[in-house]
Amino acid sequence: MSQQQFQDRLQRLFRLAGDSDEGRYLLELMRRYRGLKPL
Amino acid sequence: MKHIMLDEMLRRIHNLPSLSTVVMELLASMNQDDVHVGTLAQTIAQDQALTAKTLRLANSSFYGMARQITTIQDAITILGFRTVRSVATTAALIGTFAGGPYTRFNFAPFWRHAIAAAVCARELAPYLNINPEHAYTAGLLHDIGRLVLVTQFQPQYEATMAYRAEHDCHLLEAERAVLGVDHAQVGHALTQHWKFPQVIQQALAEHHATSSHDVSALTLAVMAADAIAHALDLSLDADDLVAPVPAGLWHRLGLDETTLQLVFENTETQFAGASLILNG
Repeated sequence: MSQQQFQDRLQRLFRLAGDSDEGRYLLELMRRYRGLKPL
Repeated sequence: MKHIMLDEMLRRIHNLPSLSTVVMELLASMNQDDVHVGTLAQTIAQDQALTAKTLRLANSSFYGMARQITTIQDAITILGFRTVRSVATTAALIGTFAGGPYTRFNFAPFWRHAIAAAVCARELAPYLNINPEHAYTAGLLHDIGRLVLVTQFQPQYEATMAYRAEHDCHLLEAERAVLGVDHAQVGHALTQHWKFPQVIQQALAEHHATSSHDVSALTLAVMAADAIAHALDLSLDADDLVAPVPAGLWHRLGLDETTLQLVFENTETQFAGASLILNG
């Protein structure tokens, strides 16, 4: 999967969980795990 | 659509087939530290399909065995007691809900997520000082209430999925709106009926609680494993979503980023082997 595809997929997976601090933290960890640049 | 009444749900749960003796014995053995290899082999051997499935998995390329494993006893010696018990328990539980005319529900992503949560919960267990096999079982079963709803209340569950699609909400919210109950409550009732350890019943009941502050360490492991498994996207479900993460979860878990990244990596590695059980 390309970086852009990982990025798009993570955005979709977190679209209902990304509003809370807990959700944002996990999203950021996943971004780093997938080697994506921090937001 | 009318909400599901609690007594009707309990009646349907009580009408479900009982867990097989083999599953009961495998689950019971998780509480015992001194189970003999021969006893576990004998338990698995009572079920031919389960034996065949366990051996097929033990012989898969994932484990890279130089020679063919032909007996459960060999599998236990080579792969280890815990691996074989987890494999057999998973296969047996999947078999309990297999088949049936539930054509609109896709069981494969369900079980892929369940197995991912199970291996992740087991990875987290040492950091929380909990029994790794309880963690695996609770992770594996955390959404089992959904299978009761899918198989016992089929039209209502189809309406739930339609509601979710229409409102782009999490399935839990759709269940509460359409059915008046959610899969966490149903899973709790089912594991109560199956007489699972109290701590596992509680983990199923509370895994979608809004806060992690007062929950047990096992519930904490399941909450984290559920979120991580969704975030790792292991179900391969295009509509998958990370559920709202309980407040205070990462703080209570108390793991630094390096450790969490290791948990992610180990979860993906373990999942690659454990999920082979779904291939026939």
